[in-house]
Amino acid sequence: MSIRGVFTALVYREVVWLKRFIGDYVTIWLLPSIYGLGIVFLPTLMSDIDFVLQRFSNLFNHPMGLTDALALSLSLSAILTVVAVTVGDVVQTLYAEFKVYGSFTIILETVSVTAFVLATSFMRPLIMTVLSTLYLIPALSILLGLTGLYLYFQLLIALTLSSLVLGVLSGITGILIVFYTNVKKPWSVSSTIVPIMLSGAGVYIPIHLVPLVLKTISSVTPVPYTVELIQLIVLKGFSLEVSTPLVIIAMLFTAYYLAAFGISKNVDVRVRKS
Amino acid sequence: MGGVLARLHLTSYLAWIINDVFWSIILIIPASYLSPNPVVTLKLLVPGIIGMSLASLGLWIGTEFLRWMVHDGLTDMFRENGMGVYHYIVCTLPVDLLSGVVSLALLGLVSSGFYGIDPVWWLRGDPLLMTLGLFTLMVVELFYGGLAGYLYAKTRLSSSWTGILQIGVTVGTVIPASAYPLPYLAFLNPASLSAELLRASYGVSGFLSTPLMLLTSLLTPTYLLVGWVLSKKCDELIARYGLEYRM
Repeated sequence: MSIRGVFTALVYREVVWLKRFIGDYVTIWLLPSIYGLGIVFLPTLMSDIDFVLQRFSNLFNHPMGLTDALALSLSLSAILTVVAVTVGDVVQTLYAEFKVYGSFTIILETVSVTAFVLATSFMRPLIMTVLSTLYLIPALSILLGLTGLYLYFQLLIALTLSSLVLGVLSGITGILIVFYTNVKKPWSVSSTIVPIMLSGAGVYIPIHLVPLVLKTISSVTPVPYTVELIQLIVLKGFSLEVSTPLVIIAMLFTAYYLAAFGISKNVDVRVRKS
Repeated sequence: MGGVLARLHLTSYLAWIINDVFWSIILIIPASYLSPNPVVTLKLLVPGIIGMSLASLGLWIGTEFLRWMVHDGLTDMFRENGMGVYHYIVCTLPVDLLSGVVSLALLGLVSSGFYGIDPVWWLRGDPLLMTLGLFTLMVVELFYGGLAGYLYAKTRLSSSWTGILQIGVTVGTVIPASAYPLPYLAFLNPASLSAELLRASYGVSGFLSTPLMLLTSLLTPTYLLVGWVLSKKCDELIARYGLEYRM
């Protein structure tokens, strides 16, 4: 099959799925939007908006008006949806292909387990990061005009890099679930690890407030570094400071890629023998 | 039957509790951190989260009965034995309420880790109001189970719309009834009442305890009746038109 054929097939499948699961897509656009707005407006139940903006400015060490605070809050909300969608999607795709749809033999006849797992770990995050963050285009454009659109594309780069690491990490989780455990509800694993990762990353709060156990779990994922990256991009643009979180994300990618390669290679040899 | 269903759904219950607690933490810790008194804000938001959570659970259980269980013939099996969505939810209620209390306890414990406060702060409230708040959560679940049952029997919506429906349940729960210009309208959502009773037990409700108790005695039977009527309508619709498997 040509590259164009693969691309057409992918686009066709995503369009069909978008139509079929439009309710799910609306939910994954609405929920982070509500989270983003709630972070700014919920504290106003106890005080006025000026107090909240003052706390927000102190928290991020950057003076902010309502528009800036909303732009930052909504931008950070994207990490919630990207992590949830990437982890859930990769783990469940691998489980469904290997254990539910019965396509395991066809996959083995065509490619190696390694190639299939790595392709899923790369392709699903790339597609889902774009689709799950579409709500940011109108949200940031309304708040910041054309600058908002430019900001969205910068955020998309950061989120895509992060989702690739998460994709490979989820690929490892998926292989472990499928080939090394007897888990029958893979969604229960993916939906449990996602909020733990996120709550340990201090998305909207100073990281020193986060309990050590949660912080430690989250620190081996790209989430806290992506949060830092988003904050830097929104508040300062693509400056030199982004290099530190970018280097950590790149290191995590290398480590997880090697681990995913090794584990899936091992699985490939094992299943072909048996 | 409830015990068998609980064993069948054990993994789902554990995942639901952990999911619920940590997603809530992501919202309530920053919201309370940005307010002048984090602990008071915590007491304001946690009851809302619990109310919303049980309402969502009712919606998802109704969805499960009318959508996913159809595939395995389990809905038919229940109906052949003269039972509908209402009976199905009644079976799961004790374990669901227990899971709700575990969620509250875990939410209290994890949130205490962020602010270094008493891990059982959530237990330090007026016992009567707290008991009422927790028990009315069962009514909330029955109401929303009946509503989901009716909606999915009446329309051709897919189950993914439950995610959108549950966003509406934030009215009066996560955003307290007293925050609205017409606060009593928020009680159209039964979960508002449970949330407000729990808030009153912590002394942070926008309503006085006596009118709230009076409202409870009037609204609880009303919610029960509406939930029962909706589930009866759902049963009638299934009997008349059948039920097609939809995801």
